[in-house]
Amino acid sequence: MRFMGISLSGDYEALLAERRYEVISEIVERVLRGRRKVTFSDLLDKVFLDKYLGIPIFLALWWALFRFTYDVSAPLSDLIDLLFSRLGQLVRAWVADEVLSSFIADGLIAGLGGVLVFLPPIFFLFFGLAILEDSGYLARAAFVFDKLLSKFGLQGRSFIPLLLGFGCNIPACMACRTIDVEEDRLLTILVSPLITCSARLPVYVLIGSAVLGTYAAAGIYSMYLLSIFLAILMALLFRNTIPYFKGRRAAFILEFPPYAMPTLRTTLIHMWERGVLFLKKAGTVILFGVIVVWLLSNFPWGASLEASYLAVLGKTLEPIFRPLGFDWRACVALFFGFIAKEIVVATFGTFFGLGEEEEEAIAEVIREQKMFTPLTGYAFMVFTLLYMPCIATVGVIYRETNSVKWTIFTVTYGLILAYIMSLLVITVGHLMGFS
Amino acid sequence: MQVPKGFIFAYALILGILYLILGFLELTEGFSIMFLPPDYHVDLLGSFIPGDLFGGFSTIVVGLVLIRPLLLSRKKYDALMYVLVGSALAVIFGVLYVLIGGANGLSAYMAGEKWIWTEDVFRFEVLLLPFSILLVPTSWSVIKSMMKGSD
Repeated sequence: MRFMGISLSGDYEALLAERRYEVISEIVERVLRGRRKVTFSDLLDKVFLDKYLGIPIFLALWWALFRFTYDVSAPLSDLIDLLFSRLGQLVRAWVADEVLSSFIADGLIAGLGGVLVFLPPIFFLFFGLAILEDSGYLARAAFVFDKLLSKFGLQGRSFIPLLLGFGCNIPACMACRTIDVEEDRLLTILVSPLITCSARLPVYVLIGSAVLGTYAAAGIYSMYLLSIFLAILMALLFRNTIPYFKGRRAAFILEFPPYAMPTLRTTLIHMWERGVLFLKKAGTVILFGVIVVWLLSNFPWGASLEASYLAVLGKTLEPIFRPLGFDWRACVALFFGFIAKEIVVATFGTFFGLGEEEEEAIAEVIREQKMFTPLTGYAFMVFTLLYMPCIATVGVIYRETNSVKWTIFTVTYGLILAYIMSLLVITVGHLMGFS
Repeated sequence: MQVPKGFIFAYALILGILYLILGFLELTEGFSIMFLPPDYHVDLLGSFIPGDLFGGFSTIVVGLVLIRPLLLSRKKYDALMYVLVGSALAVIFGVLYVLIGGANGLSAYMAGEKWIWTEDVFRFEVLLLPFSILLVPTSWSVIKSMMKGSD
């Protein structure tokens, strides 16, 4: 009989299961003669479920997965980026019509390239995740974390999606499928966009280096801490206030599968099944969004950016964000960020006539033009962290919840939370004497 | 021929202490880079000990798993299992940094930049990789024979 992990004391389901397994053990003891053979899985569990080292081992393995996902896949992303930029240059050279050339090169090709550069890290992430899952380790990791998370209304299985959220919120929402209790799955989906994804990091780096000086690194790190803190806090809040979640905390009963050596074939199949979904669904949404942005920023055709429809939109939004100290350009950058967070940096680059890769120069101009003070810059970072997830994540949230209501709820509470937290930063900062 | 258990434990202990010390230094460097002004950044032995906060933490975990048998009865399988898992973790990180080095080289090649390969290869996790690899089959063969003996 396999070892079974039961957490959450005091729950009748857990107690029932515990009793059931006790009875099974008694019967097995009476029926089987001799000692039970110690298995390799039993021995591995001693290490991976170690009281003191279980969590650190998981964190170390997660860090390895994180580096594998982003560092090892980087050349493939660079290659895709290079191919699409060359393709854009070719189109510009071949298509004579200015509007059509700009639409194909800046809209379609740049948009499609913008989606495909995320494919290698997504596939690498799912490859690593499939290895951990197929080996039987992921079930142990969930069990190790259950006790900690149950205090905040989440369960052990919620931990994996939340961790994945540091890479990208899309696989995080998709990984919630591993949570078998519907209420817990939904709750984890609702809070997972609060986990700061890697796409938000360039924004923190840009604004941090522009206005926070020597405190830039500490400012960026504080975003990660705030992200975890708010995700847990909101889970606790939703669990205690929303009737759908109230009192529905289910017992986390998990029968561990034996450890197994994952085969390359099944690992690749798992990776493909999950990765291709991103390509099909999120890719179309992002592509559509990028085309819309291109239209808004380029029309009326021939007009300057200041006179474009996008600037009109930014100036319309500006009064709402004035209490936070954001000007119309910051509002437009945030609007672009709804499509994909990476575009926030690119938007500032467009304003100053610089490329996205010239981050140092963009930061210098932001400093010179006094676009942000250290306080409003930090508030902008907080807003970027918390406001609505990118359009692809919203699409995935809708698909995973199959509910317009929960999707709108996620977007709305994110916006409200972002505004309140940024305003709190400004207010507390003013009270402390910062400008 | 099977390697004596005592030798495996002693080897794992030395390797574990090495990982602990180097991991602590890596963590310290990473912490100074992340939280202190540039004048106070700690730089020890260049790329041999990189400044990596979470990498340092992971290395410390590897060291702790390897020295954990000190607190256990070495007659049981458990203690050897810690050695096996610890050395497997060390191998995972060593191979990972080799892959990252290769990826950096490829990226540099595509961007037409010069790749300083020594920065990727001469980090301690990579240099200790052969010593960790040795421990995996040796501890595994002893565990296997102990399990057979218990049948």
